[in-house]
Amino acid sequence: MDGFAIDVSSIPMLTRRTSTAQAESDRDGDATLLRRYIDGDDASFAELFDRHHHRLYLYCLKIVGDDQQAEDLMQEVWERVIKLRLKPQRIDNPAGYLVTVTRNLCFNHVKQHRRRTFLNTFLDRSETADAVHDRSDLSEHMRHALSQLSIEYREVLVLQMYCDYDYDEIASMLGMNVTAIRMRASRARAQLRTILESMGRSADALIARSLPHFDGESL
Amino acid sequence: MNRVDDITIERYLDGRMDPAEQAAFKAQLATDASLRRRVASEESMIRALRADRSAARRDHAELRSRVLASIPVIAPAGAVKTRPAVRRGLYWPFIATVAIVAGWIAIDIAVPDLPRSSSSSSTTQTAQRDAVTPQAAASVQGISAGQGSASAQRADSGQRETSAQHVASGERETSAQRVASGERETSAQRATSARRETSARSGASSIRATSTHGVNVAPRAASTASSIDAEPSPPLRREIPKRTDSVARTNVSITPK
Repeated sequence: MDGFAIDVSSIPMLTRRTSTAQAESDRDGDATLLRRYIDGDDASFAELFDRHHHRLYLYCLKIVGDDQQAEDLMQEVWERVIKLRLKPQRIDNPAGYLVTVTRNLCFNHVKQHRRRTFLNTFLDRSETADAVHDRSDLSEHMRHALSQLSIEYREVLVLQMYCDYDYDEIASMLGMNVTAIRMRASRARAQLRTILESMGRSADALIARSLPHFDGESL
Repeated sequence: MNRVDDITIERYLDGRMDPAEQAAFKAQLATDASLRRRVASEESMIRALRADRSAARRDHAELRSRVLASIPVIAPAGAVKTRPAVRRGLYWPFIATVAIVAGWIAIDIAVPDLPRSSSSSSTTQTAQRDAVTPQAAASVQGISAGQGSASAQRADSGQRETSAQHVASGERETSAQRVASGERETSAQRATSARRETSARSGASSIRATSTHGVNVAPRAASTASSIDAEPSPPLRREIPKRTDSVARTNVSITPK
C-alpha cells in the first residue's frame, strides 16, 4: 500500500438516484399538478414550485454565477409558468419544460452579459492564489473553479451534481446520447479537479475546511 | 490489466453495477493501488460538489410568496372557457358578415334602382328581352335606308344581343326610363306588326322604294326588309328581292342611279 488505503466495503453510494418508475411517477405527478393549476387550482402551482424551485435555482446560480441574478431569473421562470393559464398548452414533462425555460433564460442572460462576464472572469483569474486561499469557503472555491469550465462542461456537471438529474434525463434535455453525456460529465469533473489543484486546494481539503457547513446530506 | 475508465468508477460509486460486476470491481480495487487512488479522487470530487450543493441552500420563502401572490391577478381557465364566441376567435366571420351587409346597404342606398332580388331581376330581363326586337326596329327606323345592308346587319346584330347585355344596359336605365321606353317599344311593336300585315297582304312581293339617290338595297329577308321599309328614307331607293331559298341570304348591290 502506498498510504492510500480504502476500505472498499465502506464506500458510500455517492449519488441518490430515483428509479425509473419513480421518475415516471414524478413526471405524471408534475403533469397533473400543472394541469390542475391551469384549471384554476393555485395550490398545485405551489406544490410544483416546492418540487422544482431549489434545483432550478442551483442551475441558475451555477450557470450565471450570481445569487441575485439567479433569483431574478427564477422569478421570470415562474412567471412564465403562471402565464400558462392564459395560454394553456399540453406539457407532458413539466420538469423538462422548466429546465428548458430556465436554461434558455440563463443562456440569454450569459449572452447579454458576455462582456461583463468576461471581465469578471478576467478579474477572477487575475486574483492572486493567496487571495483565493484566504477564502476558506468551499462555495467560493467551487464558484471560481466552475467559472473556468467551458459552459458545456459546466452545464452537464451542474445538471448532474447540483440538480440531481440522472444521465438519461440530461441526455433528453440536451438532445444528446447518454454515453456522450457521461463522457462529458467525467471530463468536466477531471477538469474541475485540475483547476482546484492548480488553486492549491484538493477536493479533500475543501471538504475538510467546509465540514461545519456540510451535513453530508447527499452522500 | 485493462485500465478502468472513469465512467466505470462512477458507476461503482453510483451503485449502478450489478452484483457480479461490483464483486469483480471490488476484487480489482483490492489489488490495484492506482485504481484505489483514482476511486478516492473521484469520490472526493463528488463529495466536494455535493458539499457545495448543500452549502448553496437558500431560503426561497420570499420569492415563493412573491410568485404566488402574482397568481390571483390572472383569471382561472374556467373563465377563459366560458368566453363568448366572439372573444374565442370567431370574430372574423362576424366582422366579415357585418361588413358585407353594411356594404350591401350602402350600395343599395347609393344606387336605388339595383335589382333587389332574383325574381325582380328576371322580370327586368324579360322586359328587356321583350323590348329587343322593337329596339332593333327603332334603331333601324332611325337609320337611313340608304345606308344599305350595313344598317340592316346592325339591326340584325341588335336582335342577337345577349340577355346579359340587356341586363347590363337595363341596370343603367332608371325605372322611369324603362317605363317610357317600354311604352315606346310597345307602340313601335304595334307599328311593325301592322306593316308586317301590310307586306303580307301585298303578297310578300318585292317592295321597291326609290330614293332620291337611286340606291338599290336588297335586304336578305322579307321580315328584315319590312322593318327596314318601315321608314323609307328619301335619298335612297331600296329594292327587296324575293327570297330565293330557305336560307336567308343577303345580296346587296348599291348602284348609283
